Amino acid sequence: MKGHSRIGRPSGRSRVGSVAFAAAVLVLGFALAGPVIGGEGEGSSKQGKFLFRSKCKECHWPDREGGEVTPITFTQQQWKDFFDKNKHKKKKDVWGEKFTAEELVHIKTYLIEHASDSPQPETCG
Amino acid sequence: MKQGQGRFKRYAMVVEVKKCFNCKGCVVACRAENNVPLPISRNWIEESGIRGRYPFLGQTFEPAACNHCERPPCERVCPTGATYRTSEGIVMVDNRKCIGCKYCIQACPYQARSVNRRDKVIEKCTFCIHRLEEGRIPACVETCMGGARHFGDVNNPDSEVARLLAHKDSYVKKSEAGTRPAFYYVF
Amino acid sequence: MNEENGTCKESKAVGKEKKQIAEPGPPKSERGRLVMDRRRFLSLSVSAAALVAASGGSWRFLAGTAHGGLDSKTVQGATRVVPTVCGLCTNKCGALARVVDGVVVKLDGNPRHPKSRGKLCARGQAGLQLLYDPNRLKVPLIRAGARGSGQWKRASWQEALDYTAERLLQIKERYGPQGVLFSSTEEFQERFFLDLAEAFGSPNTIRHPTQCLVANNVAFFHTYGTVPLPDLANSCLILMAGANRAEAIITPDTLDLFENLHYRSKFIYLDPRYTVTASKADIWIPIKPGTDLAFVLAMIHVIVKENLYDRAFVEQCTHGFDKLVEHIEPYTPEWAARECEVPAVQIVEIARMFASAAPRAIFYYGRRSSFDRNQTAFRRALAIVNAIVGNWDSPGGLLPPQSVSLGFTLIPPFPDIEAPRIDGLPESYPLNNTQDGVYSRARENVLKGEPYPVKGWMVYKQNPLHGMPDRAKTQKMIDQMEFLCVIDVLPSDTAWQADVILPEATYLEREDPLHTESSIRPHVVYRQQAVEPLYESRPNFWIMKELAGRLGLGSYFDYDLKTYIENQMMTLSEEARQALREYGVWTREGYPKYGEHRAKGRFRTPTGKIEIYSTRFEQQGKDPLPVYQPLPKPPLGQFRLLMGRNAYFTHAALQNNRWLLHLYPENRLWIHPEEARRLGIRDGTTVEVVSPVGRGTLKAYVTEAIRRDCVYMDHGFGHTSPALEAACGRGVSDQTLIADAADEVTGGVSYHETFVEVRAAA
Repeated sequence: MKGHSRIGRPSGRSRVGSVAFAAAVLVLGFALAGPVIGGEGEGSSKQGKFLFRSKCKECHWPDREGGEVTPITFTQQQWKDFFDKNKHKKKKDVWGEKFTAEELVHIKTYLIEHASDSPQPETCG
Repeated sequence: MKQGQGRFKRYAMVVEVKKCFNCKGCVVACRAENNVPLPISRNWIEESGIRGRYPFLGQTFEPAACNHCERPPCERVCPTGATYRTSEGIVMVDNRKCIGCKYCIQACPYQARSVNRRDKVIEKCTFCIHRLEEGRIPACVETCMGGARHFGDVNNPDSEVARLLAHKDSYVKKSEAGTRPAFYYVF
Repeated sequence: MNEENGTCKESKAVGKEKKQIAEPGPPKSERGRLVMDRRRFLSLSVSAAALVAASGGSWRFLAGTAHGGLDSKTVQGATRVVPTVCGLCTNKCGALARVVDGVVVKLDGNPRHPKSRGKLCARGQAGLQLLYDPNRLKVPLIRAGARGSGQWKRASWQEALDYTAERLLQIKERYGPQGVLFSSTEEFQERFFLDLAEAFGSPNTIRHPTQCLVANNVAFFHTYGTVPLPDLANSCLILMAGANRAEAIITPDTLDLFENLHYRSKFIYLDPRYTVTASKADIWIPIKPGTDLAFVLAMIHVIVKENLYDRAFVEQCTHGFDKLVEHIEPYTPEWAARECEVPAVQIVEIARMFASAAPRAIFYYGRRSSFDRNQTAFRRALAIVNAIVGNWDSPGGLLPPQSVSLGFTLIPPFPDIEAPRIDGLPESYPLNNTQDGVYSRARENVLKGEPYPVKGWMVYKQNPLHGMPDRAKTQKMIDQMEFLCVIDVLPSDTAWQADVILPEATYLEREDPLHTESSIRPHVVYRQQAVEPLYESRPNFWIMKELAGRLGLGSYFDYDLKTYIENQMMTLSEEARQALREYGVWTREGYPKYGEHRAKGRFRTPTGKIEIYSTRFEQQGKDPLPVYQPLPKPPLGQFRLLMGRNAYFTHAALQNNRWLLHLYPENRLWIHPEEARRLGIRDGTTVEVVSPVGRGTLKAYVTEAIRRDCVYMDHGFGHTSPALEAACGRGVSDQTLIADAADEVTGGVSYHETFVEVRAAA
């Protein structure tokens, strides 16, 4: 009811692979330094958040060149289309220059997960 | 000074009883504002308790404190003149003159006075006179969440309190005591 | 009295000054000083070392000031007014702290704050007593004896933090980062605790929603795509079920409701108990507990059958109405009358009144939804009944919540986490917010040790022993931990069980990040520091940063709070920033707004419409429309135990506040006179309450204000921590008595499903 923080994974898209639970107990320390790319070409939402904030936000800020864009600017389908078809048409070269293919996968994952129709409910506080 | 004469202010509290929901914000605000030590309070809420038989029930809350009477029994009985009334009708205690006889406590029909043992003074509502000086309203009125409490000069026909009293039925506590309180309740 | 000239002189001077009001008096500054002279506050001049010496190394560290050698001090000087935000409950009311000579002398409401409008309730006014509570946590403590024995070793911050980091790393080494549970409650510095958890690599964060409003949020979110806010001030008919706004205060809802009582046509209130709110209602319906859903379903039945719904709105903006028509067929008023013990004609009449007053009608849903197994279905029904009368985005109806977007501070990406959550989210409760966790499931799995052991527990601003049902089970959960660290302000029952206690600074001693409240009037608040932290307490940001450094996670906290706040301000105009610095609050103009969303029309749901028929519920195998489950009846001679709260305390957090305790010293068991007579119980005498999981004694409150089939007690009493000198031993903890029960859809606790026996105590 309060606040608009939506954090977490959308339902039905589990990040839990088929790692045996016994092995899970022995998983040590930090997860991998690099992004985990699953079988569906999914990226890392956490990497994506960092990239979105550090790179995209340079232009997509209120009163800046690209205008404000946040994950909830579009729906999940719209984000999918944006990454698969549109590919930042308004300034195509920026995309090619600024981001590697891998980074785009991460950003896509993050934006879809937190899109305006993401199934993660708002929380309190 | 006469009522309605317009020369002097007459401060009064008017409470819309329906709006008080017993949050007791006023009780704590007063304690904080006036540094009133536990266990005494300058103000309190008179709770009627649950009236009636289930499921036809009723309950009311009446904020109360010193009524700042026009004819205060406390002033009458005070042997040293420590209790006095200001020109705006606020009943005050000059603790320098007080000898601690506690006659005023007995005389008050509203049990509005108590002994503050920590500071060795008589503790009672002062209508937050120190705030009035600064153009502020009493702490209890300011914080009243239900918007039940109203405060002002009844001698000013444009004031909120004067208008409330003009347009609504009101009552005071123990009117038969003849004290003429400045603390009114409206429905 | 004038026995001692010293004390009387000051008050006499005041008296004298006051007498001169009608005539010109001494200069104002002098009068101001004299007024201030009357103020005395306990000074905190004792050093921590002196405290140690006085206390002898045992739990008396936490002992009150009477033993500590503190003196009384008169403060004088200029008053500094510092904008702050009340921290005694979740409402975040704007407040102004008056500070004289480094002492907070009074808290006033902030008149510019759109929710509290210059008021503070009893708790807000009593915030001083939290700041100056003699039992406050003063220094870091490390457990020196058996868990719960109260043997503590006074530690320096260095020592306590080193030790905490060491233990956390040990657990990480042995069990993985998921072996540490991070549980916290919302506040302006909670974010840093959650960041630490994520940086640490643990998926196991648990917050308060599943003990409170998860069902409400999940139900409304999956219906509307958001949790709407009620425009109570402009509503003509308000229906309310159990949200006791007079005693469970929400701003501005409470203010809107009671300030405008005369100007509204009707306020109808459903509750098994005659609460203060009931006494203000035009109609109080003493509904049978657990049957609210039946009432609403019957209302929907009437509204649909008699074509009282907003046809145009339903067609344009909702999905699944046709399925609803079919679904509510059996839920007739006559059926509901039997379930609820409310006359059918009354249900019909209320449904008609509600629909005819719409769109200026609200079936208000409040926050807490943790009642019984029907909680999610009930909230879905509330969402539906509001939707079909078309009160969306309309004056006096439900409005889309607004907040202000704030700037961020860039930190490195958190590590991806392989381990599944201990509570099985999101798979176990796919409709929930994952990060909030599900407490009952988590506790269950921790006790089982499946799918993996959880042996470390970091607790921030939370009191699980008082929040979770079946206290004995929570105790077991604590007992099986290898390490428990509690960050708090007071020595709570949970802190008493800890291995390490870290004293946090209270809200009056901190500058906090900006915060935006979801509201119909979007605004931002800026809590500024009124006084320096007392004793050795520290703000949570500092604690987290220090811990992070020792855990090798320093890069995630490589900034200071000032920078964090400046970054937040970057999205705001200069005018807004100025307002925040000067007044502590900035509200965006032009709100509440009506009709904008209604015109554009896309809801943040899969269908883009208000989902009367929830596609996501269906997708996850839950009832897509609310289905009523009758609750089991209490066995003969037993009662359903209800719990709730009053206006003087916030959950289990404030019972040690002496100013508040003075208003309400203990909780009592509400019981109907007929039942009391039957059991030989007199008002004010002690009774024993026995449940399947515990027992306790408290005084009885024999009253007509409750139904015969249930008993009630306030939540939050029955503290056992001896360090809470004022609160310890008063009343009974409802959580000792309430058995573990949760809603199937959201895992939200069902606090009202326990049956108890009541006996007069010998």
